[in-house]
Amino acid sequence: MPKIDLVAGLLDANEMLAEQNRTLFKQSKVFTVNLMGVPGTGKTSILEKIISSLKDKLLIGVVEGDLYTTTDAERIEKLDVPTVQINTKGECHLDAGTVRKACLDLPLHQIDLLFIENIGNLVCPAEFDLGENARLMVISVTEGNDKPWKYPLMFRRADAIIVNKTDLINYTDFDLKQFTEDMTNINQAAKIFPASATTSSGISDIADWLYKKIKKQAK
Amino acid sequence: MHELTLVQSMITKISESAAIQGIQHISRINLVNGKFSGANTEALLLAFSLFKDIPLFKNAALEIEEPEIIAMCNSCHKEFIVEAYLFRCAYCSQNNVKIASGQELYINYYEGE
Repeated sequence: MPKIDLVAGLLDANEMLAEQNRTLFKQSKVFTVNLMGVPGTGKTSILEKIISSLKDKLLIGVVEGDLYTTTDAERIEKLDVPTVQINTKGECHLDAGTVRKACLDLPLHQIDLLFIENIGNLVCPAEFDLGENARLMVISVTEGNDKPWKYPLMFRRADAIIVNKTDLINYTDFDLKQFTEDMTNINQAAKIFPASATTSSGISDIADWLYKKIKKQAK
Repeated sequence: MHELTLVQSMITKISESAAIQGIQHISRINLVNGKFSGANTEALLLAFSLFKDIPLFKNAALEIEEPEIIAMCNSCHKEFIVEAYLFRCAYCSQNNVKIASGQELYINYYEGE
């Protein structure tokens, strides 16, 4: 019986498209951030605050991923930044092809910083490269300390992790020191930003970090 | 959830290859799913069962290998197996390590006639 050595990756198609996106972003001089986290962790609220903090310095665009609704895109549009909505209609993640299509509806060459807000999910988005420059994750103190060990792939691949809702930390058993120690063992290189979208604490640190990365990239 | 998308991609790739090779019945598929690929082996098997009514795959057995996560220490440059997602060098206890393998997800080979 013939044996056929195929050696074909199941994510090859996505990786090829992600590479094309990387080229497109580079040519358009756009710094792209893939924003990920569970539903309700505060991705959109954090994004609103980051945009408000950076929009005088940079031209910002947003791709909003959502299963069915346009609520998040409507929130972002109020900040007067170009926004495109992707509805995945049940798909649990954004892929490189969908993002590319959405990007073609944005004035990419005018944008310095593009946020792609992924579907709320700690599993599937981790595997799908979108061609981004940085992966930003949002977790909140109400989710508990066990999440890095439960979803190690997402935490391992993040460049920075925003720990949101720190204004509520005294009402939870979340231990920031323990979280930082756990993250050292999973992904030592990741930056950790304690923050609160409600009080705006920590937002300027995230904005500074992003701004420096963009300036460094532009050189 | 996304395992269905991944298996769909596997079915497409094998179908294309089988058409070129003139293979009409596949008996065995060997898939490599690293322990840090993010795809769940049970879910891949379940997703594959949904494609069994395609004649080409009717008698195909899907075998899935799960290689360990291997990391390399950036300090002492030794390779070690990552246990329990602890990315810390087994020799010098440094956390500055890079993943050498264990994230792969690919069709290794298939057999058929």
